[in-house]
Amino acid sequence: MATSVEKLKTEIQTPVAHSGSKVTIVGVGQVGMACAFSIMTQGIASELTLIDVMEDKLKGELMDMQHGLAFLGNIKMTAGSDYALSAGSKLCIVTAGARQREGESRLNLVQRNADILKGMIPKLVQHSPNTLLLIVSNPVDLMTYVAWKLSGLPKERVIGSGTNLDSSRFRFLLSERFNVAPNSTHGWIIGEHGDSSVPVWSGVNVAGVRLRDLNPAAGTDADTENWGEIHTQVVQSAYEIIRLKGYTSWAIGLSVSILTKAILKNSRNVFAVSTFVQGIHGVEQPVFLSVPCVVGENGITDVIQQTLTEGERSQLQKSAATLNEVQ
Amino acid sequence: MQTKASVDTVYGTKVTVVGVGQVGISIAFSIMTQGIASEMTLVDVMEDKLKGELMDLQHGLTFLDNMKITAGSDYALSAGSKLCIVTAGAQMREGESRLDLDQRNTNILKDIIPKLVQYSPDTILLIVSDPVDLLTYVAWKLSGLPKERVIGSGTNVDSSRFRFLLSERFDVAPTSIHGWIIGEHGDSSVPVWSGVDVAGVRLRDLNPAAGTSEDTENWNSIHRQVIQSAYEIIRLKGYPSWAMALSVSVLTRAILNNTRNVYAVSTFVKGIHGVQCPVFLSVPCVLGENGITDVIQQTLTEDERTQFQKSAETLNEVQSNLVF
Repeated sequence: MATSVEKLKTEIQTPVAHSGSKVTIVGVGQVGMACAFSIMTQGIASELTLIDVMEDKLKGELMDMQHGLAFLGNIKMTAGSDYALSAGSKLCIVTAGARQREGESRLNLVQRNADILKGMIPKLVQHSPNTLLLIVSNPVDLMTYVAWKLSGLPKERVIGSGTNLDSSRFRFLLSERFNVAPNSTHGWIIGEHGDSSVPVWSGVNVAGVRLRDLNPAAGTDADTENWGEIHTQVVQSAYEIIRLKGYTSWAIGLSVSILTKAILKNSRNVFAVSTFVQGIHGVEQPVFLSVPCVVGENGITDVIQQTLTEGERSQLQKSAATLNEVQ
Repeated sequence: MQTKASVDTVYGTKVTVVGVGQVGISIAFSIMTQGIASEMTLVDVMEDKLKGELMDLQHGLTFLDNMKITAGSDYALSAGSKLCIVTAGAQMREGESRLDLDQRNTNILKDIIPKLVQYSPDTILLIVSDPVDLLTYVAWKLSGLPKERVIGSGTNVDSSRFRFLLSERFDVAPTSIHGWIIGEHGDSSVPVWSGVDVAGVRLRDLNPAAGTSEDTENWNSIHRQVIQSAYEIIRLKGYPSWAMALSVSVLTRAILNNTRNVYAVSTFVKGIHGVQCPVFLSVPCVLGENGITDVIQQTLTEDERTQFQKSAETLNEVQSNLVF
């Protein structure tokens, strides 16, 4: 006798196994889950897979997210430790990685994280040969380089979340001083995602009116308005938020979801993301650092050539040299 | 830069969230990413956590439409809120009786509710803290607000879980499956099997025994899974957050935008389905800018009515032992 479900619907053709815009997120810690929820609530992907090693946590997070689907457009969600689940992904977001232990050297952390990626990246590419990789794990510029090397993918398809977040923090803090919306305040932070990031003060503007035209010393040591303090706050932000609430999650989640949207929808917006910068701004080493890039369905298609000051160029080159040393 | 006009404080669509635990902060992020409110205030007692969460949320604003976000322990920050969402509450201690826990939660609300109403006399209260039906009653008593403006998140999330699990069996989208769970948000919730349908085709017309103990297809296991969900999720990941956040943010949108959608939320049900006690339980309600405007009168089976009334009596018993 036919079941209720068989009585209800007559199949016309088999539904597709994997939809067009499938995203995999590796790592379901606070950052990974914030990325997942951010993607989900903004209807950015039609299929989402979560991968990690902790089976219970994965199952619990999956259930919790699925239980909210009646309030959103439908998304197919799966979760597990088997990378086969990730097959057919247009984009794989890697958030997994070790956190710095007390007294641990940066170099040691890098080695530990490189080993973690060794277990991950080849499997992701194996199951989704046409995927893009978006690396979030820190230190992100180094990890993006490592991921690129391990993946065998062309460099345009391996992207680091880089200073997209730093730029967002920069714009928010600038917006507080200007008292206009953050997305009406324009400013870019490039280079290393971390302590030696480079704020491009010459480009900071509202409605095309440059800060440097209003205050030629803005951002320099001679600046009486001390705009440079905003960059210091950006660099301190992550440490401060970790001190206050234990970890950062929401801003990085939003940063990653907007990059995801740009890739899946081929929107060709410009974002500061970590890409291969040998040959850019006088960098000679084969390293990844953030510069404004045009992002689309096939990854990075263009790099925006900013006019940097001598100081900004040498800072970038210095970061590149340090990274190369570690690599 | 030339200033054209000074910026006065304008109360557009402001929401306050009390309690920045996992549920509260997920609600905040859900509201934020869906552009539901133009202003949001977070209130709690833990100053550092508040500040950290505030910074983290603000740092993502360039990727969204702007909204004003503030946070602190001073309820004055909540002034001018159209809606106040209360997630704060105590967890059961080892060996603690249900009554003691309920009294502790009553005392917590005694501290919160009057302050919220003081700073936003025209606000609507949306209570999320568990046990939600009881605490919505407590909040109503403490607030002095008309009952239409004190709402409990109730079985909105149970209904969502129900629809998701049904959707897995039917293999259509959860939003194309219709089904309601009403009554108590908890172990004795009532699934209204007679109303379950896809495209107007009722499950009960395909299988008249669906949801009963004679049902060979065992549809009722879905309701049991719904009840077990919260416990299961807590066991697996430590706490529930995402589904609850989506449930509350969709209620928030309905209220702020006066959408007049229908949701299963906890409201004053004396006189409904034969209930005689002054309690709050979930039934499908029309939600708008002024709170609950209508209750949808479902046709319940005798069993469903009895279950509903029994929950009401149990609640009333507990309520009568509380000290306000």
